[in-house]
Amino acid sequence: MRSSPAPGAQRTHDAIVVGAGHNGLVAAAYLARAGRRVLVLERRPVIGGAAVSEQVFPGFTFSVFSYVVSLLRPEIIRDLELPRHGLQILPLESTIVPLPNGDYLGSWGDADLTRRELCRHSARDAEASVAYGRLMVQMAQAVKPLLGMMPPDPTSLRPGDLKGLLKLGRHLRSLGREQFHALYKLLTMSSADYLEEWFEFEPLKATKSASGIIGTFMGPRSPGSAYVLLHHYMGEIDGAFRAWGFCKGGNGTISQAIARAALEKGAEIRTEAPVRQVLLERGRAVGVVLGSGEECRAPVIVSGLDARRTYLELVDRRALPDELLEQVQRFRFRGSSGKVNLALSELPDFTCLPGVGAHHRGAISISPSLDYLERAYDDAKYGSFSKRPYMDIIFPSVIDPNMAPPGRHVASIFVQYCPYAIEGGWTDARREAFGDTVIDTLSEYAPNLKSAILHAQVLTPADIERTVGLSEGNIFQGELALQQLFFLRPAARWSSYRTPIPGYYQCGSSTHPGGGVMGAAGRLAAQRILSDT
Amino acid sequence: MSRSFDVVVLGSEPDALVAATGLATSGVRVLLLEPGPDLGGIYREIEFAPGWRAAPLVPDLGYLDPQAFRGMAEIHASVAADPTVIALGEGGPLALQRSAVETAAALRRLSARDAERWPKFVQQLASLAGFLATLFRDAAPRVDARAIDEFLTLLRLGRQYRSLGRRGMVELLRALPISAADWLDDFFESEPLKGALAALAVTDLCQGPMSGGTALAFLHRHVGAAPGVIGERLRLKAGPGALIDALARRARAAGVAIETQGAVVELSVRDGRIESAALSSGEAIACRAVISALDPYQSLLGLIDPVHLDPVLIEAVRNIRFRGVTTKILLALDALPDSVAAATTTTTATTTATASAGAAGTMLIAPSMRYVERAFDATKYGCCSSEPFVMIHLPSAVHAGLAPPGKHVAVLHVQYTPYRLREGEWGELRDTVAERALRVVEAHLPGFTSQVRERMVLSPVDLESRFGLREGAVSRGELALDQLLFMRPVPDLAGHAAPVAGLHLCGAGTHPGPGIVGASGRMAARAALKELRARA
Repeated sequence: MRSSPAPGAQRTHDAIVVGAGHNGLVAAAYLARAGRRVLVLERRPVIGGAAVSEQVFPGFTFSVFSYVVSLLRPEIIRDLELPRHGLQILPLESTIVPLPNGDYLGSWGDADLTRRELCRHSARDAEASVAYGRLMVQMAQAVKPLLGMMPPDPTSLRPGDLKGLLKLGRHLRSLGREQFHALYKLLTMSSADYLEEWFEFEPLKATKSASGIIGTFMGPRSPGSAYVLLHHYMGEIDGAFRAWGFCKGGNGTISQAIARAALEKGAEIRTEAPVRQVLLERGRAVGVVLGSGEECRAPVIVSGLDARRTYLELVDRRALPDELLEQVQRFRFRGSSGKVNLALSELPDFTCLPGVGAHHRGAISISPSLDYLERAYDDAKYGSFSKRPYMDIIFPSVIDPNMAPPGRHVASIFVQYCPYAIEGGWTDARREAFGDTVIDTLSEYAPNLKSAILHAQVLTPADIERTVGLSEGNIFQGELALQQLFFLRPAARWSSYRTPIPGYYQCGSSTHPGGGVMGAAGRLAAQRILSDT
Repeated sequence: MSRSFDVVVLGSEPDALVAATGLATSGVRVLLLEPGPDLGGIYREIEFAPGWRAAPLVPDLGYLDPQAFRGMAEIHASVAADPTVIALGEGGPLALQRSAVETAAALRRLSARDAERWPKFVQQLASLAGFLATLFRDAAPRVDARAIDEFLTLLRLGRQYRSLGRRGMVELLRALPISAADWLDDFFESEPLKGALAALAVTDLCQGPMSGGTALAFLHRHVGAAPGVIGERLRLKAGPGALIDALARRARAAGVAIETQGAVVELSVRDGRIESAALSSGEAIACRAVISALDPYQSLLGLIDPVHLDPVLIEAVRNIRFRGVTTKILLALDALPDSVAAATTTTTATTTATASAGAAGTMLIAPSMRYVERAFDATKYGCCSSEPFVMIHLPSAVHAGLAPPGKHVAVLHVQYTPYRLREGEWGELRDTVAERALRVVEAHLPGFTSQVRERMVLSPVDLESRFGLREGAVSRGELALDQLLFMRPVPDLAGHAAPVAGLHLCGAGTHPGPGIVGASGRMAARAALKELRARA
């Protein structure tokens, strides 16, 4: 999956992208489409950053880190012709929440089915879910233009920024009072408070609010978590009702497809080529220096790494204004997510739905109550992983049998909370204890689990940081909190993909619109570069 | 023959009195009705033991809106010396004084770095709080502003915002959603300092320092504070009741009719507009408008037949979060223990004489942010903190006459003790909460509990029944980003007018919120006057 010239040969490129995460690849693809000669440099032997599929154990392919997709921008899928390059997204048809009393709460892509299921637990909630769903779609549509917008600088008087601010103001006014207020609430409330205004059934509130805690250092009762709820809802729009999906072959296929699109347009990708520094001459970015000492030159350098690495590691800090350094130093990364990938001899048998069934084709969510999630968060606040963690589990092999040998399976378990800053630091023993806790907890719902485990891969935020370079293992390259979003992401004045250094750009999830496998940042960065050069 | 007035004002706390006066001076006939026997509501001291009095809910008076209090010399003459917050903890008391230099000197023993940062923090606090003061001077700006004066307000705000400077603009945007914990971590390293500041951020708030929006709560409390002053804004030597008395005098002088023991039980509506206020006595007073300083829930859902209200509005009012978490404990003290004198006396760096930071200040027990956060955790599960944070006020040190000669009153502010309990009920828990709080106080002020002669424990349930505070929340609506500005008390009502023509709301439950006194009354009067004139 690479096109590499003989090492040492001088090639002139128009742009060098540092890091082959999905945003870097998207940026490269768009630049290449526009006729630029792009070189992508990746430290690891595989491309994709945290969107990778790897055969960690022979015969079993894990979507090692990120494991579902829904936020990938439709315009990117279209522009880069990703389906032609191998992208095939299969819908996750359901989410099942096992309940402590042996029952379960289900939700399906089919709205009617879901409503009927909800009626089993709460007729009131079943009715409310219709209006709720409608409002959330409206909200997602209200926010959508902001996703594709370059954040204006709210402190500048430059015409471009003023125009941007006016456009933003006009957009907000166009929502009308009711929708504006609903949006404002979503931006400021906790997901628990927001949902409690709509629903009464505890597991329903909990499961919905769980998407408000993903990748954050917040609990469902934390103000600001309702935004994250909305953020994750935004994949469910755009014509087709699209719930979370699973990419055939795992999330690595997404990266491969984007890379193919880039290569087809003439981009070059080199792996095992770690970038040590960005080269500056007379204050401009002119190239990069690799770990080997080799220099590669280009007038445009695009960092797909997170803000900390982009500003504090790849360049000499003295080249950056204090104001920016201060903001980057305050940019929070507290990783809170862990991952457990399992190779299984058989599927877990859930007591709430015995046997192998349709539910194995969807997601299982361990989120029985708001208290459960909140207590899991409490553990993390004081430096411990959750003793009874939140989990989101899928079985990729059921949807795509190629992920495992015949009759065998893989399970992808996303876990919160698993704090980067664990008391005493992460050690092998602590990692093992974390893995055990996850498996023990899940076993309560599926007693055959332990005996079915052939291999287990346990990843803590420290592992994530070490392997794919995400600072503090934060999966979004920086927390999705209002004070670090939009025109403050990653810093005021430097939120539209430029950096203070001419020729040096940023395109990762540390920029707007933030995290998830979206690709939006990469695309907007490419637009910025194309309009600048 | 039934009486009639142009406007009836419900309540007698400062905003009600300000609203009534504002209208009367414009020639409107106003009747102000206070349900209880005395004017002032929570501003009036209660006698909690024979010979001992205190107003537990108003340890400091907050920020007096300059326009509403213009010309009130007697108030300005009664202002007590700058209050000081004294954080008690390991390593001795830490006094946060008005003088940033003095405070920095005191901080040096905890952290040289924090001592150096302190003046910058104070400066930024003043700058951001100053901006909020401007924001709170007028009706909340609306995104869909159409009227020319709303546009002008927005423009003025925009100019004020820009005058913060580029850095200031960014700091303001950041400070609005961020948690107090993160905000303070960005400035300081010393836990005792951060613990104290964090406790101030979450006072009367059902959030912990790690919750979003708590930095804003801290800023809100400092609107109107003189630069350098932390935690408290205003104390009067004659006590909070003096504020009420002065306002009542001015109201009467303007021609406001004031009556006590006048509880309004219903506001009748005809053709979509208020036509009379019915008292519990049975009397119905005809009027063209009503300004209610009661909390919004009571004003809208307690006094008006719901058939006259938009169901969306009713739902929104039901969703207002109150969430009282405070228990107040009033203590009759035989004397102040030596430990109090020791805690409240500081030697300043620049003088050799000992200067009393003043028992007038607040003593605060919140040793670290984690301590406060743990205390908060309990409320999420409907329990009271096993290790609460406690603030100790000694109103008798400022205001003479609250206790028999030589004796003192202490008011303990205890958090967190949620109104809604999951297990047990407040009748049983009151004493447990009091014991826990006193244990915490005794640990930091040895000898304190032996001086306690009598006590009255006011749980959130008691605060509700005694003072009419819904869920015991003195804020009358939790101070949260989604319950401020154009969202306070509910979206669309921040213009101090309600869908029922002629009904206007003011008080802490409306914009600009608790601790900012007189502004909402002033704005409600203006809105009511405008409406009356338009109808005339």
